[in-house]
Amino acid sequence: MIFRSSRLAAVEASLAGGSPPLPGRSQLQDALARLVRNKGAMVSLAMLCLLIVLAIAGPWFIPHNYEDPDWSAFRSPPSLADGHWFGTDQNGRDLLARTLFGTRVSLLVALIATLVSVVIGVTYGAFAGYVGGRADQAMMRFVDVMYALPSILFVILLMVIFGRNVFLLFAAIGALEWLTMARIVRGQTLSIKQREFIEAARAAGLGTGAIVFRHIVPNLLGPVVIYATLTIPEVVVVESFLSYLGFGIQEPLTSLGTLIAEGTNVLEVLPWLLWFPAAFLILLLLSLLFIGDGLRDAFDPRERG
Amino acid sequence: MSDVKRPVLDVRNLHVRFRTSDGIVEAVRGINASVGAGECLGVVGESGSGKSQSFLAILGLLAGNAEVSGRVDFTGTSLLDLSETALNRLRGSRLAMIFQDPLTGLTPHVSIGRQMREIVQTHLHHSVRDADRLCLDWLDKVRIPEAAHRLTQYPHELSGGMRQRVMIAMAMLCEPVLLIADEPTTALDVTIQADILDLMDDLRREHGTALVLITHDMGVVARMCDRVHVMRDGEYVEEGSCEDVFYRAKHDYTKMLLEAVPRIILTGHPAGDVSTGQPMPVKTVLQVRNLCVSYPMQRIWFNRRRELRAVEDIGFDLHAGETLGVVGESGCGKSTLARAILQLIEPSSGSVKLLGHELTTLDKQGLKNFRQQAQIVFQDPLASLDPSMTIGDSIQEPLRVFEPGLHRSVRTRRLAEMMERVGLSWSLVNRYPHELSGGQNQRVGIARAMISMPRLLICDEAVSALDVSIQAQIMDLLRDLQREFGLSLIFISHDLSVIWKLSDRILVMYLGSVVELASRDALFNRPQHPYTQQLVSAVPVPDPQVERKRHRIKLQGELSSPMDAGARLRFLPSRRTQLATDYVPQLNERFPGHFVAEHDPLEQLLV
Amino acid sequence: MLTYALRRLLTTIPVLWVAITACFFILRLAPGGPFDGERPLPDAIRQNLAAHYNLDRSLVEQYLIYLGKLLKGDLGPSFINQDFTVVEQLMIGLPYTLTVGGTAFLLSIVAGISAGILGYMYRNSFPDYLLGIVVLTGLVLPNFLLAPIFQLIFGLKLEWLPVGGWGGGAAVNIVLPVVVLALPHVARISRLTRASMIEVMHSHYIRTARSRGLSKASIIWRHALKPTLTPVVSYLGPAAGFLLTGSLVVETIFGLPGIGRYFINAALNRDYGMVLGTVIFYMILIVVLNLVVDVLYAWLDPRVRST
Repeated sequence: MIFRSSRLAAVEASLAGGSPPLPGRSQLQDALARLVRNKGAMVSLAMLCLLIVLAIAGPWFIPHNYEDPDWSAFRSPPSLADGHWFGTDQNGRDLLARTLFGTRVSLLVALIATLVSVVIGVTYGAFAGYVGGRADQAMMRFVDVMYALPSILFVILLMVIFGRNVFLLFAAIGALEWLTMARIVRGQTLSIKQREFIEAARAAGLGTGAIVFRHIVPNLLGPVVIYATLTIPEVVVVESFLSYLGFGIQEPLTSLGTLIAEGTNVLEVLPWLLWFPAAFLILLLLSLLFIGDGLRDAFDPRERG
Repeated sequence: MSDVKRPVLDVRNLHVRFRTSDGIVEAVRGINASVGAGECLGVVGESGSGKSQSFLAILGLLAGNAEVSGRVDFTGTSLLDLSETALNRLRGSRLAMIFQDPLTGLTPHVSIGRQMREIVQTHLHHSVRDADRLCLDWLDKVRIPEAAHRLTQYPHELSGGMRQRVMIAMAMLCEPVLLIADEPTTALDVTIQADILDLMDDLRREHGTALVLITHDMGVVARMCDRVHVMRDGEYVEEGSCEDVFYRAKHDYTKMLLEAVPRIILTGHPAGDVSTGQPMPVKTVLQVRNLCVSYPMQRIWFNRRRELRAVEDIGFDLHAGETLGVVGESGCGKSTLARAILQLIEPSSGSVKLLGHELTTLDKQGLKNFRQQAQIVFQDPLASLDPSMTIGDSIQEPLRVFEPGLHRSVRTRRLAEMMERVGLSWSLVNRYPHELSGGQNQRVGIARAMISMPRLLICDEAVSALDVSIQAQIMDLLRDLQREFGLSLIFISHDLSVIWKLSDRILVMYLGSVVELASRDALFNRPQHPYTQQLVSAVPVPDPQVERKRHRIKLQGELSSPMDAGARLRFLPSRRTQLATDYVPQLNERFPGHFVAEHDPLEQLLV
Repeated sequence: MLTYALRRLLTTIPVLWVAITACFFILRLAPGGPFDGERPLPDAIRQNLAAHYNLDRSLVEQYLIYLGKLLKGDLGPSFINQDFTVVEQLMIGLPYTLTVGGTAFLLSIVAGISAGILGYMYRNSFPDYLLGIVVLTGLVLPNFLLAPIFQLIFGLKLEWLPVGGWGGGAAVNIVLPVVVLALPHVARISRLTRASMIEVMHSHYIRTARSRGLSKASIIWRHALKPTLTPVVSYLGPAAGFLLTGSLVVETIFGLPGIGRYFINAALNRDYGMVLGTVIFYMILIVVLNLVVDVLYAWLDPRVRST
C-alpha cells in the first residue's frame, strides 16, 4: 500500500508542473520485471537456452553422427582424448551425439504436444467458462473424471493398436495433457466474466466477439503462459516414460527416455550410458520447473513462505 | 481499589514496521493511547492510516514480517514482552477482539457450538455441560433466537448480522476487561449495524468492559465513543473527548473529514410544500412501468421450479436534470433494477422508455444506439476497468463503438477534454488502472461513461468503496457534470447520507419492491412507511449531541431472504394468511407525489 | 452426504461409459482388424474370440453384447495366454499391485502431509530446506530414473536391500518399489500442503482463533488442518492414477509379478484383449477411488455437502 502511494505521490508531484503523458506499465510488464529480478528463474532460463542451442546446433559441430558406429571405439568410457566426450555405447555410437539428438527429439515432442494441449485446453476452457451454466458443469465434470483416469494407458493403447508413430505420439500426449489448462482457462474466464469491466464493455455497446477478443483474451494471456511453461516438463516426462517402456520413440530415432532405458540395462557395466542422458533430462526438467515457478510468482506475487 | 483510575490499556510510543521486498514500511509511527474500564475509545481514520495495524500489533496478531516496538501496558502486564503462551492466556479471556467480516472471520468447517466451547474450555476449564450452558447464555445475551439450534449450525448457515452477534458472543464468553472492535459493522446493513452498536453499548454498560472501536465512520464514533483519536498515516493527528473532536476540531485533517461526511439535516417539515402549485413543466427522460425481473432457481431433484423475484412491479419517472436516489439494504434488488433499466439483464416483463422510445423490444442495432444515451458507473473502481488496457483506451472505447467514423485526432481531443473535465491529468493517459488510486480510477469510470454524452447516468454504489474525503470529491464531480450536461441521474446506494446529499427524489426498495417514493425532504422529514422510518432512524449522524438524543425505531424480524414468500408481508402481517402469501402490497399516493406501500400501523410492528 | 455420494456416482457413470466405448471402437478400428496381428493366432483362440466378440454380428450388436458381459464382470479372453481369461490374469497380479500400490499411496499421503506441515512450521529454516531438496528430487527425478539409482545405491553399493524380486512378500523386497513409487507424490503432496497451509494460516478465521488465545497446536489441528487438506484431497484422485501408471515402470524394473508387468508384456506382445481389459479394469478402479475421495472432500467442507 505504502509503496503504491509513494508512486502516486510521484505522479501527483509531476502533475503540478506541466503534464506530458507518463509512461504506464501494464501488469504484464510488471510481471516480467519481477521475473527478471528472480535470479533462480534467470539462471534456469539461461540454462534452458543453452540446452536448446546445444540440441539444435550441437550435432553439426560434432564429428560423430548419432546413428553411425565408430568401429574403433565400442563401449569406450568418456574421454576427451579420443573425441568421444560422453563415451560410446555397445554399438560404438557416440553418446554425446546421441544425447544431443535425444534432447532435440524430447524438446520437439514437448513443444508440439504442449502446443496441441494449449490449443485444446484454451478453446475448451474458454468455451466452458464463457457459456457457463449447465454446459459448463457437464464439460468440467468430464474434465474432472478424465483427470483422474490414468491417461498414459490410453496413449499406450493407441500406440499398441496404431503402431508406434512419432506424430501420433505428439498428438496423443497433447490430447491428454490439456486438462489442467482447460481448468485454469475456464476458472480465469469465469472470474473475468464476472468482473464489472465486462459489464461496462457491454454497456458501452460492444458485441460478444469484441468483448471476447478485446477484454477476455488479453487477460487470459498470463495464466496461459504460466501453465504452458509448467506443461512442458510434464510432457517431457511422459514422453521419456513412454519411450522408456518401449512405446514411444523407437530406433533408429532416439530420445532422452529411450537413452535412459538403454543406459539402465547396462548400468553396472557402462554406467555413463545412463548418467549423461539422465543429467540432461534432470537439467532440462529443473530449469523448466524453476522458470515455471518464477513465472507464477511473477504474475501472482503473493507470499509463499 | 486505589488504582481505580488506572487505565485498562495504556499504549506508549507504539511503532509498527513491516519488512517488505520494497524496503521497510512504517505503518504506525509512535502512537499513545489509553482506555479505562467502561470507557469507549474511538480510533477513526481512512483506509491505510494504520488504525487496525496498531491494535493487531498490541494483540500480537500481525504477520511475521512486522516489527513492533514501544510499551503496551494491559492491567499491569507489559503485553509486548509476553511469550506467545503467556499472551494466549490473556487473549480471548481478559482481552478480546472482534473483526470486520464475520463470514471469513469464523472457521467455516467448525460448528458455532464447537468454536465457542473451545474458548470456554481453553480459558475457564469448564466441563462440556457448563461450557454449553455458558455459550447458550451468551447467545441469548446477544439476542440470537433459537440459540440451542444455532450451536449445531455452521457459519455459512447464518446471516451476516447473526454471524457478527456470534463473533461478539465469542469475544465476551470470558467477560474480557477490554474489547477491541475493528470495523465491527462495516460489512452490515444499516439497520443491523444499529442493532449491533446498541448491543455493544449495552455490554459495555452492564459489564464495565473497556471498548476500543476502530472505524472509518464518523457517525458510528458520534454514537458510541467517549474519547476519539483521529489517525492519519500512522499517527494520531487529533485526540480528545467526542465533543471536542466534533465541535472544536483543531487539526485540518479532522475538519476536512468532518466536512466530507454528508450530513442529513432534518428540519421536521417536508419542504417543497404541496400548496405552492405545480412545478415547472418538466421533460421526462426515463419512464419505467411495472418492471419485473425474476431468475429461475436451480431445481433440486424434482421439486417445483421456483423463481427468485429480484425486482417486482417497479415504476417511476425520471426528469431531465433530476437525480433519483434508490436506497435499500443488501439483496433488495437495487443493482438488478439498474441493470434491467440498461437492458444488461433482460426484464421478465414491464416497460422501460428512454426519451419516449421503448427499450425492452429493441434489436441489436437499436440497443447500441440507446446505449449511447444511457451509461453506468460501478461500485468497484478497479474491477470496472480492464487491467490490460491503459486508462486512455478504456475511456475512448465507447467512442470507437458509437462513433466509429471519428478521426483519431478528434477522438484524442475529446478524450483530453473529458479527462480534464473529470479532474484527471493528461499525464495519466498511458497509465494502467493498477497504477492509480481508487478515486482516480473512479474518475476514469465516470469519464468513460460520460464520453458518449449520455442523457441518463446510473451510478451503482459509485462512491461506496471510497474513503469519505474521496467520496465527497466524486459526489461533487457528479453534481457538476449533472449541472453542466443536464444529465439525469439514478443514484443507487445503501448509504442514506450519500443518497440524501445527491438526490431530488428517493425510492426506497425492500425485497424487490418499492415501499416508498417521495421527494428527498418529504422522505426524510415525514417518512411514512415503517421500513423507511426504521432506516432513517438507524443512520448514525456525525454529531454526538444529536445522535445520542435520537429515538430509534426497531421493527420485528430481520431482513429475510427474497426466496421466502412470507417476508414480503413483513410490514403487512395482517394479510399474512394462508390464502394471501402471494399478495403484493399496493403502492398508494398518500400525499401528492409521495407514494407509500400498504402496511400495518407502526405500533403493531414495533419490537 | 449419501445423496452427495450417489450424485457423484451418477455423474461418473456416463464418463466411464464413454471411455469404455471409445476403447472398444478404437480396438475395432485397429488397422487390419484386431486379430490380424503380427503373429497368427492359434485356431482355438480365434474361435474363442469369434465367440466372445460375436464377430459375425453387426458392430452395434457386438458392442451391446460386450457391454453386457462387462456388466457381469467378464473382460474377455487374452489373445496370447490361452490358459487364462483377462479377469483371471488380473486376479493373479492384483495382490502384488495392491500391496505395493496401496502402501505407496498411504505413504504418499501420510509422509506428504506431515512433511508439508512440518515444512510450514519450520519454514525458511533447516527442516524446510531439507524438505525442499526432497521435493525437488521428487519433481525432477522420474520414477524410471529414480529406480535404477536407488537400485545402484541401496542394492549394489550398500547392499542393504534386494535389487528386485517379490521374495515371498518380504518387507525388504517391497521397500524400494514403494519408496520409488511414492517419492514423487510425497514431493507433490508436501508442496501442496505447505503452500495451502501458508494460505490458510493467513485467513481471517485463523486470526480470529489466535485472538481468542487458542494454542498453536489447537489452531493447526482444529482450525487449519481441514481447509489445508482440501486441495490435497482433490489431488489424491489423480495421484491414484499416477501411482497406477508408475507401477508399470516399478513392477517392470523391480521384477514384481503385478498387473503392471502383465500389462507391459501384453502391450509389447500386442495382446489386444489383455490390454483393453486391463485399461478398463484400471479405469473402474480409479473411478471408485475417486468416489471415495469425493466423499472425503464433502466431509472436509460442510459447504460442499449442502450444495
